[in-house]
Amino acid sequence: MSSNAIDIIDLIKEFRVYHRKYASIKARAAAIARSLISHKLETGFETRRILDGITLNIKHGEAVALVGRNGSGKSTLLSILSRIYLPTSGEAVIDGKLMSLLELGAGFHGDLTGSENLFFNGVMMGLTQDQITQRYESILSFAGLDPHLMDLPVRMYSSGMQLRLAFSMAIHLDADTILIDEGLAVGDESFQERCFRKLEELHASGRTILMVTHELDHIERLAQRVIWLDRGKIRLDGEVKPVLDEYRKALLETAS
Amino acid sequence: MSSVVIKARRPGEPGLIEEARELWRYRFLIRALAERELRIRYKNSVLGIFWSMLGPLFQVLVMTIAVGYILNSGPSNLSSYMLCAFLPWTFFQSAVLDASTSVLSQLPLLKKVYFPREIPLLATICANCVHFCMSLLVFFIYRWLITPFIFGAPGPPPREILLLPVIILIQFCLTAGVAFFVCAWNVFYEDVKFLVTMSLQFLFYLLPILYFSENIFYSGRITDPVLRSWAYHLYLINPLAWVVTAYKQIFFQRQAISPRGAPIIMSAPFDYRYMAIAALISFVIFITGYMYFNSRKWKFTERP
Repeated sequence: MSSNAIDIIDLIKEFRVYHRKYASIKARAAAIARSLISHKLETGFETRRILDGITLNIKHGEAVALVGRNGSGKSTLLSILSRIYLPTSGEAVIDGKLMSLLELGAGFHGDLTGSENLFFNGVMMGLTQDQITQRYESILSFAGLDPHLMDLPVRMYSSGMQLRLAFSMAIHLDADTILIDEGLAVGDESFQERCFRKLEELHASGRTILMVTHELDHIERLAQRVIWLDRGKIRLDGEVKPVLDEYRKALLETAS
Repeated sequence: MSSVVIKARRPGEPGLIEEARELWRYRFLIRALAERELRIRYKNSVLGIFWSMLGPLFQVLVMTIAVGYILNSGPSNLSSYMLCAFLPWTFFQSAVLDASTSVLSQLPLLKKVYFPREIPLLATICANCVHFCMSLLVFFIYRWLITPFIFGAPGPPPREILLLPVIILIQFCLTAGVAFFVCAWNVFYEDVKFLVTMSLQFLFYLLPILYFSENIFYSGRITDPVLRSWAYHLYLINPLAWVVTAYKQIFFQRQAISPRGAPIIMSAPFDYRYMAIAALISFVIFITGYMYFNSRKWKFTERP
């Protein structure tokens, strides 16, 4: 076991941005024909570099926040860490079990009951049926849902109830590292507070937390370290206060 | 504690064995997704699963009238022959069609959570396979409980019926292999789905569903007997044609399959050589399909 929970070495991610969407063979064939006639190769896309050589280490038990403007690559970085995309080059090593809250309740199906969804989501996140059965009560009580509600289809739940169930499920996964993408704006005030306390508790028990959020108050409360991403590069990396001060200053400058 | 290395992949990496191992780790998810699919399919209908049984039965009824009574070909128990060919065909058809859109329809999920990309596809095929196995039950009821009142007791099936799981496995591999290709193309070009629908209609007539593969061997159009037997071999090299033929051969004793009064055509016995060929071809299609799928699967979430 290495001392770092996440090791990222010179990570680069490029996406192809298509000018035209070739959603059909016909459109593709027409484009090829056109490029043959005009004698110049029409690729139809350009590559855009979203992450441009990110190198960083996150130690076990650290709580780190990623900040940056829209399109700076925060979410892409989290997506790569949760293995949605492969990087174009570079490497990331994740030590231990990782759980990502990119979107709560992503796998919920409206026609299935709460407990069916719970079991399905749990299996999707890598738990076994037995493990879910063991944690069932605890998941429900954290979400604050009545057990008899679990036999109703999820589409009958309010959106807040769905999110509470999803969040509750997510924190019962026993992950060593937790990735959060703006996932904290969940439910009403009191549930948000409960989520926060739970995250603080998880952090206190030695879990690593990496979160992306635009709510700077959340960062000040939970994180020990802030990384500021700007156009795919790390602009600043350090203690919460100095980085956030700089970041706020830059935000104000662009706003005015 | 395990660690995960995330980095760009060169073509051919990380190899078939490694991919299969990763898939094995997620085997419970295949099951959960297949169960979920079966549950959703009949969630909001009163008759539920019976709909899927009624469909083929009705279709077979119409086909029997068209082929058996109007065209006057085939034996008296033609309808049970057709049912036992039509059910595996339905399995193949709906599995390939469902699988072709499976990854696309789960794409929102694949963009949020990591699991091997082949799982939605395999789950769809598993769900269809379970469905097929249940429809076989209906076939058994039809053949051994209902039609005996009309055509007399059919007697026990040949002992090759023990090969049923093997034949289902061969068909499963073949279906999955084809679905891998179709699905990987369909993620990027949605025309593929329409192309596949059309090809499946064509394929329906290429398979011995409305007729018997023995009809080719005894075809009056080809006079040269050598040529005729080659046409028959060639026909059965299509693994799906063999699979459909095999279902007929393991459920029915050898019997005359020509209508009364016509020159007698006997159904061919089960032949292990054809089975070996079909198994080999299906396996090759499965492996190449899986490899092709793997070479494309990391691009799915980056779909423009």
